[in-house]
Amino acid sequence: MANEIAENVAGHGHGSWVAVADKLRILSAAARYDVSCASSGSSRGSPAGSLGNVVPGGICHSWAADGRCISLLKVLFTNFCVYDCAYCMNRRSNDIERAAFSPSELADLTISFYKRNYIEGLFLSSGIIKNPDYTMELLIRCVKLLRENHGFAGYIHLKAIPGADPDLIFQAGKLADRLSVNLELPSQQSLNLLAPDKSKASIFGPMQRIRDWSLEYNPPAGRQRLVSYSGITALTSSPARHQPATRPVFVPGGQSTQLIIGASPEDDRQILTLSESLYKKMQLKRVYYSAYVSYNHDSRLPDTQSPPLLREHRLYQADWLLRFYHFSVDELFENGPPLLDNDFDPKIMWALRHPEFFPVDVNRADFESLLRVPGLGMISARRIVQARRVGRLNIEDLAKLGVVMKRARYFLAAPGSDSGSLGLDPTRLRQRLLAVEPPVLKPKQLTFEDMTGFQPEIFKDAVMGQF
Amino acid sequence: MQIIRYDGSFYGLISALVPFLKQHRLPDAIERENERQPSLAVAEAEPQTTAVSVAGGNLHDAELFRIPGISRETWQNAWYAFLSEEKNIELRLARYLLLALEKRGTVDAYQTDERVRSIHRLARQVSVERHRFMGLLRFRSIGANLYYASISSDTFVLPVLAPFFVRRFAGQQWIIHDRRREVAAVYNLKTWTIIERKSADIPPDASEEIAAQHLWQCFFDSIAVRERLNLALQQKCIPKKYWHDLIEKPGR
Ligand code: SF4
Repeated sequence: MANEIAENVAGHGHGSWVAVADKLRILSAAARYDVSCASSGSSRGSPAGSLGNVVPGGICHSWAADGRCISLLKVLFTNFCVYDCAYCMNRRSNDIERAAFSPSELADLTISFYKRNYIEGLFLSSGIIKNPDYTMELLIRCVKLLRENHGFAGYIHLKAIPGADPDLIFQAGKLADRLSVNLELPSQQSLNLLAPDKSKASIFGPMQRIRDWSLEYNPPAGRQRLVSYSGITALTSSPARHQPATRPVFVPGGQSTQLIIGASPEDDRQILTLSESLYKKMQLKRVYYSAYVSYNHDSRLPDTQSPPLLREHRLYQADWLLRFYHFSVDELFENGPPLLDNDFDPKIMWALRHPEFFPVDVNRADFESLLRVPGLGMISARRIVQARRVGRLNIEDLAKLGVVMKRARYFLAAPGSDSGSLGLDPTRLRQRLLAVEPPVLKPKQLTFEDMTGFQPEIFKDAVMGQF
Repeated sequence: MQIIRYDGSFYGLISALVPFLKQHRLPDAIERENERQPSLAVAEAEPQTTAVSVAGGNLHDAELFRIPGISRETWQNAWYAFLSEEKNIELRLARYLLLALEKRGTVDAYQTDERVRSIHRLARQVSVERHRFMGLLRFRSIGANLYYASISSDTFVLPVLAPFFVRRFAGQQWIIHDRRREVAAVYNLKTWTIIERKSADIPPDASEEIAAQHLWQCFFDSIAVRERLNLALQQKCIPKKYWHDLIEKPGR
């Protein structure tokens, strides 16, 4: 039956908008558990006559009822699937409503949303219809229509279908801003158990190739900077803003992957060790974590009532420390169990285990050390470094700089501060800090005090990353 | 008593201030001649070129802003803070710019000084709101390749918001209507400008537009993960004041 559908899909049939609405309802619902929807980390100018552009920091266009940012039209091309992964609602053995777009339908829908400023672009994933190559070809056909027929220069994130021919993955990478190959499960054993149709090789193979191609095609100078302020262009003419129209680049936004948390027994340290090596060895831009939501009753899976949201949140915080704060996984878990702390964010967890590092002297410590102080984010640390150039800072000055002292005061030394008198005894500190720690009921935005700072790319990434 | 009067534009304000700044002194008061002078607060730019001067007119005007000691960053802060339309923003800016001259280019490091802090805070407010509207602004199609959006912003973001859409939608004609200030940015495929516009006489939505809106609402509803419903967080991210001009309906 899937094959018959497949024949129809491949045609250029165009349903009425009511029919499209039905597909959209089914295929966006099917995509909603995929969390990697950030549109950040790429930038693309608009060649003359094209539609749209990509801004480096990404933009949120709305927020759904679950509080997560909507940036891209996130859909599956189809939720038909010939595979039977235990954790997935679209698996072959589930009896659910199925649908498939045609390439032109989806391309037109994307354009109609984009022109109205509903979205930054398209996030396209898919179940496997017929076979991996056939599926990849359909996705490519849709994206080709967008780029070539509609002159679309907005953001496109494509899923590289595991098992698809390398040539197809290459074509996809020439068209997309970002590619992702989802790992889903953090170890080979779990993969064998829960996703028997997928092999480690079918996942790491494409990842490696994508990495090598992007090294080959993206000259280092043209590679994305993480930091770029897109404020007004006052008094400047910045010719570097637009990239040349023809660019021999390959996924300028890099690649990402997703891990499902809580469907398999790996602990936090194992998961983060995997992420760390993906960042280093595969040069991934992002690893996304998705709290496992149980919709299949399957004896191989834990029967969780509610998704482990707090754990997901802590993992994102720790991941953040790896990417921006120069922490290593070994450092994070040194002197403690391989689990993140439920009560505190991982930075406080680390600080409590390393009293010898504190207090940090506000006027002397280097930037890196300031970053290790709980409560100090990028923005606060940068402000401190900037402000102390023109005079010594005392404790009141810190408040004026907008530094939130609630946590930081226990770890900082500045004229007028009393951090020394506490003796930094970890047990007492823990109690003190618990008193100021708000209960985590919902995904907070990371380092909230930094949110409105003048470093929009970090701020946006925090938002886009759905903290 | 020395009172400066200016025409309501940033350019006008700076032109009037410069003689004072050069003598290292401040006027006693600064008065706006009229509430707002959009025609002078406009950056007219060719699509695709980003050589937009701070407040207006053309590149020639940029000469005015070449004052040794006042860096580009400082001007940018001043321009953004000006758009906050905060009460007495003019005198605050004058104090900030005077301090900038004294500190010879390092003024923005004096973040513990109230004169600097308040300007930074206001500039940030404008920059954050601009960024919000980059995402939350909604166009509706009201004619052949013609789109309309209305906003009601706390700060006067239009002059810094419009260039973003010029770059993004260079091939569409569009109007962004600031209902609160009764002005609109209009882009005609070549240039954009800000005009006064009280109310919008927008034709009823055509069927294609209605379909697009339905599809968007449909996507918006079904993308939310029911197991993680969090309307409080949603509302924090899109404060209610912005709901009026959205197509989708949050809070459900
Ligand atoms: S291949 Fe993808 S869509 Fe198919 S069952 Fe596995 S996870 Fe689900």
